Amino acid sequence: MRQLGYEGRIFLITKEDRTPYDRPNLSKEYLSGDAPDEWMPLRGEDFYKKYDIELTRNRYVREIDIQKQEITFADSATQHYDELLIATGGVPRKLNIPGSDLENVFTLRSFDDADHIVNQVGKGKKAIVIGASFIGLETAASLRKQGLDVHVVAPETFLYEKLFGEEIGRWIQKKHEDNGVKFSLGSTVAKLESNDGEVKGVSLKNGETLDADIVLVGIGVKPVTDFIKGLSLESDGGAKVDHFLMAADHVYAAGDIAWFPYWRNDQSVRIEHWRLAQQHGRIAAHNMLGKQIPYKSIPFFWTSQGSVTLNYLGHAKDWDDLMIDGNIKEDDFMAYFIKNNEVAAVATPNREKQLAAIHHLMILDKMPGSAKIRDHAFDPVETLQKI
Amino acid sequence: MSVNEQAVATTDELENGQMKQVTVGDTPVLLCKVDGDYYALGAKCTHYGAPLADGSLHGNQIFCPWHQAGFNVTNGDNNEPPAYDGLPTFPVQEKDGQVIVKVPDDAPGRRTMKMSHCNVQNDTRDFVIVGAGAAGEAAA
Repeated sequence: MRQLGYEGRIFLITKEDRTPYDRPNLSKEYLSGDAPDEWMPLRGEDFYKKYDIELTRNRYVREIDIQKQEITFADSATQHYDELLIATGGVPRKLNIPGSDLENVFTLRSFDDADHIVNQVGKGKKAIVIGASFIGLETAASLRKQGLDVHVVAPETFLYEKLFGEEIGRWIQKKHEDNGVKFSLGSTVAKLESNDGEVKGVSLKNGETLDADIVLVGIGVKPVTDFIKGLSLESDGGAKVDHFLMAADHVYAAGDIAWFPYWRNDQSVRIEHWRLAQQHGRIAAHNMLGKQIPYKSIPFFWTSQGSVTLNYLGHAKDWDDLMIDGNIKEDDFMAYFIKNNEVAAVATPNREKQLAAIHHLMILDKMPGSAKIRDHAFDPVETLQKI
Repeated sequence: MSVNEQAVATTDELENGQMKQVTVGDTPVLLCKVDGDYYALGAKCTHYGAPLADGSLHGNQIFCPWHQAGFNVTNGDNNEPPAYDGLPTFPVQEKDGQVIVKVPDDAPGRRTMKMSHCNVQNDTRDFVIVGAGAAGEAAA
């Protein structure tokens, strides 16, 4: 909003004790010990002062009353708003089984969460990760890098099968196994075992037990929206918004909590990725200032999986066909996720120039149909050059 | 502060939409050609430092090869996250068939985008953002 020339007051309210930080790195280099502390803040503390952004930390919102345009904080203080952006993100889901509250059972969302895990890393030898989510598997890789024995337990047969398909799922699993991570897939945890209040292992439903000094639960997040009064929410707690990210009069929602219409297919989607949330924030800022700018960008995320990083551009809630150009075993490929004969999304660990060219083509709406891709007749860089 | 002035290409070396990384003094510089004009910018993405020459340029829009941050190469402005700072731009001159770029010795790799300050005389509104994660921070 400051970049757009807005001169009114901006209150940026967080329940955390920190200035905004680089969350994607928490499960990656920060947890593996490769990122020094100074990498983590997005901007220096003085930035918010300099541009009159009133950052308030350790501030809990108890209720937002949409009709009254008023926020009530935990200490009962109230504040009126002219325009509001709700960007509260998610809280990690917890396991609903015996032992979930034991010491050294962690989830990872905030900087403090990451620090709690880092503090425990030196004291333990064995880690169990419950859930083959992005947080789960990125944490598995980082803890392995820290020298811990890491064992992943998850109910699915193949990693990320719905998202990436079986073949890429197997490839990702092998990358982790090559680093020494062990897997119990098709397994569900029945109970966490206690040693005087500290976790000492997990029991699986099949009767097997595994020892652990640390357990990380990575089974997804739930949108934080339960304090909003006067807004009807979706069944998962998300808030439905229009193309302009507006949820109600003078109220916008962005990032992990927002069900928004995706312009490439007009489906309502909710996407929990960092860069998309940043895109949403920028669009919401325009529209809070009275512009009418729809979200018309391309979603993208990256994930570190063992020794590889997978880059994913576009969005395919589901897909009919997966076409792979290249060779997965040699870590050289572009995967095309096809829905209704169109490329809904692509993923690659290495073809960066092609990926950036596809980004242009998706924005220009010039991606070829599935037939051309099936025939391996599509060169993204060349195609873009001809436009 | 000294300024390095260096010929980095011949004027017909790049086609429109092409780019290359060059070094002026000790500074890596991205040279781009858009609509017949040359532009010189910081060569590294302001997010994690990727070499932008490995990304994709179309018109005046470049996307970073690593995490798809976007910049306008004619002015260095950031226009797509996850980067938020702009790229520094350097003066370019075409002379005697050569493209000459001037880069100061201590050129920073990033610049904060132009921003307003609060002035309640001009605008009495209160905007509130709940949550200072990716979306909240970007909106402010």
